Amino acid sequence: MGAKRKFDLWTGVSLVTLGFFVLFLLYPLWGLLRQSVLNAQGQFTLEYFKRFFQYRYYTVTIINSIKVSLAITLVTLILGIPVSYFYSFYQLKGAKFLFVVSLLCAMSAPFIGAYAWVLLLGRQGVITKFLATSLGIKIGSIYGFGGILFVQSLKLFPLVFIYMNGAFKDIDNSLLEASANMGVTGVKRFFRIILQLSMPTILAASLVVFMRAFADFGTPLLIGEGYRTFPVEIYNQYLGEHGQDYRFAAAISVIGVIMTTAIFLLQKWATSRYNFSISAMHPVEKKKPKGIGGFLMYLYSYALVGIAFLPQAYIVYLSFRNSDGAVFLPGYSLTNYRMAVSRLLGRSINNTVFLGLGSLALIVLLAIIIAYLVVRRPSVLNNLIDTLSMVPYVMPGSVIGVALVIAFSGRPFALTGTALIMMIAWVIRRMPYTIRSATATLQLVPRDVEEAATSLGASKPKTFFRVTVPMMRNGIISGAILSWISIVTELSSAIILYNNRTITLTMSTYVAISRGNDGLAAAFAAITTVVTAVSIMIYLAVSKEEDVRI
Amino acid sequence: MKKRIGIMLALVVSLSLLVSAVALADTLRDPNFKSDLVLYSSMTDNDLNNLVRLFNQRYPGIRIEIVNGSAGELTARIRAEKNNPQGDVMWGGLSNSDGMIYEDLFEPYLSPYEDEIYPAYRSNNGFYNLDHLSTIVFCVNTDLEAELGMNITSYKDLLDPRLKGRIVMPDPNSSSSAWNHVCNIFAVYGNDSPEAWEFIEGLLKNDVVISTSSSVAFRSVLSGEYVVGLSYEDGASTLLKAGATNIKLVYPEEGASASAFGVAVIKGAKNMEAAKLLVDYLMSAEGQSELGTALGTLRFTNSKAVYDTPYLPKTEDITWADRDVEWLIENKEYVLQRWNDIYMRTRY
Repeated sequence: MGAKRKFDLWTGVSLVTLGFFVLFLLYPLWGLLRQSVLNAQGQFTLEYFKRFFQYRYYTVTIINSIKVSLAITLVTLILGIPVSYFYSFYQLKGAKFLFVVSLLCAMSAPFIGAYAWVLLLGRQGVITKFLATSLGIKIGSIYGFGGILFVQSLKLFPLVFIYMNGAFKDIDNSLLEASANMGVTGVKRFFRIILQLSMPTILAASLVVFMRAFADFGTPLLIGEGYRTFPVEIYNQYLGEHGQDYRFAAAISVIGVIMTTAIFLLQKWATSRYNFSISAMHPVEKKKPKGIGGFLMYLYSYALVGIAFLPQAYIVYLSFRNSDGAVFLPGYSLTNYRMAVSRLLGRSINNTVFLGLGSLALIVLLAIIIAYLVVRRPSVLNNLIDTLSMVPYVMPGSVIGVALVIAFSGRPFALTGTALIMMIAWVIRRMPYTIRSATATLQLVPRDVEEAATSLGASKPKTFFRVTVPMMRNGIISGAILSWISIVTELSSAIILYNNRTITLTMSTYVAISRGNDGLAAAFAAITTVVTAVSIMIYLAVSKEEDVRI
Repeated sequence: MKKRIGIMLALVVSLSLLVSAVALADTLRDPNFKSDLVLYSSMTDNDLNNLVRLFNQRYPGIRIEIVNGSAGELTARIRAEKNNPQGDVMWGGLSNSDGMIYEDLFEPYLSPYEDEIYPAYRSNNGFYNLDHLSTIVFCVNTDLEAELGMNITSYKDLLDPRLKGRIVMPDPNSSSSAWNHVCNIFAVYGNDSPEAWEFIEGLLKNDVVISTSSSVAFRSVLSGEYVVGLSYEDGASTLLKAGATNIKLVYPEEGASASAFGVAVIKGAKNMEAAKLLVDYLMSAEGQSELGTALGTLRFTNSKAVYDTPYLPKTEDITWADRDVEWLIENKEYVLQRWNDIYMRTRY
């Protein structure tokens, strides 16, 4: 009797979740697919797909995107894992500061980081000129492949940092002690044991970074300079000024969807080969860093975070400079901030906070449900839901934006220009982070704890909410932070879906920059930094332990 | 745990109350509230600030909200919102070489001032009201030009190997100002002539950098990232107006020409009356005189308008070339296809 009820409840949940995806994802995607295979006369055709593969001009974009995204993923892992290791296993002074600042780096609006680096390291950049005149060093160009790799790695390594913190926190101290007893410590233990135990999280983090890097168009838009990438190409085709060749863009999008689905399935297969569960009954005791090793740890962590934060700091400095539209004049003033207030600053903050939190709440709820469905009740239906939830990943936001508009602009929906349609876009686009980390965490929660609860008389829902979810807390919260980060900096679908009533901080920044008003953009970006710093502080104030435990 | 959540909620609620107060202050500033007007525009901040100020002097009850974007972004938005239009009127980026491609997006409304407009710039499609001109220009960084020992005055100079990789222009597939430049190349060398295509090929072989945004062509020249940007006069001259001292506007000595750009009422606009008032203002002699005087960076189309353009050279000082607008409208797709072919060949 009890078993039958469980079956119905969770199947019902599966079906409702599936319904959500059908309405808000599959339906718009179907519209997109139709556009890609119908010509202007409404006849079926594959000419747009043919055109893409026919010219190297187009195929080079997807190759470039893959190349640079792989490179970025590799570099962020190399940068992020060590700093997370130092943070998790040693008592670093100012650890919280490091954490907050690296989160801020990941939360910066996409255009602003690249723009600031151009000002610093461009051909006439501040640092470039300094290095050339004082030290005689000539650095390479900030543009192209190298530039994108540099800027994006520094921006995305905090994602690895956060994911890995969650994983390292869940390593039981007794495992480390056991390996020390067998004579394996230090670097060897790091590679043989610690990394292996955190492999599911490493794979999850890699996927997140790869997808972010692949779908990013803010950075290559500004510093690609001839290194053409995939999302920018879609953006150009979709929004080009000469009549909008949206059928071709739809075809390119479909190709992209297929590609990244393949990558996602590959990652899923790789993760499935690490089938184990651990629980941190004895969390790791942090050691004090000593000697040269300790000094190097501090140097590495602070240098990395410092360099990554440099562009934002420079932007805050610029926001207080005198400016008249596009030109920075000598002297300091609050001109830019005054202008920001008259340019819907209050509304931008309001929308960012409220709409963002609303979307986040929905994301967390859905992520927990989907993680449970996928890990505890694997079935064809639930794996379908898992795959579907990852599909929006690959689609540049602009495509999702237009697909949603086309699907929901007519009656009976007429959601265009509303806050709801933006929230839907955010939920669909940013849910994957939380799902990935919730899934990875749940995989590490042993079943027997849940079974113990059930055998003590708790019902299935009670077990879920009182036992399972609290044990997933680490993964959920770290995933929620990541989703929140990405919602605040979301740009590519907001461009299509926003209007002045629903404008956000990042949109206001983009608008200022694209109008060439750099002073105003700097002010908005600085305010975004403050708002996100405040939200991180609130989170830290609320979390149970003194230490930053995620 | 619950207490902490309570504190967090209290913090969030008070934060947003504070912020709502600021937002409310936004709306309470204008007491003579008569109509809204949502303006989609790709014009610069300088243009828009002055337009709103002057228009509100005349119609204080109309509250204008601006949505910025490139012409491509805005027309895509209008098209996507067709069943539930959010915008009322669009200014800028709509050029006389578009022909009828956006016919389904705009109302066939023309201002009553059409016969005061110079004949060459009267509406050629029934729904664009062409109010201003944008002439192509080279935006040149004078410091870098001096470093290279050059004096850039012509198209021929752009083929100089010293400028390899140091010229920037937006993508003619997506930017109206870049298309403006392509049109001018044809005006100077002849439509579809072998000389024109030879020049284009030479330019692309000289590694001209194609940027995705039109404003890069003057802003990045100002910041020294490039020596020359193929830009438009009203964009580049705003830099001079803002106090920049290291750039200059160069009109190619072989000849320069302009596209006429306009304003149009969006189909099904919710604030139709206010939209038409804005169109009429922009097309009237008084409106263009007021705006022209305030800006000093834009040339207008009403023959009766009186204003100065201190940041632009006099019309007499420029060598003008003639354009065949009809031909350009009809052959835009062919030209862009051929441009893309050459680009693909020379880059890949």
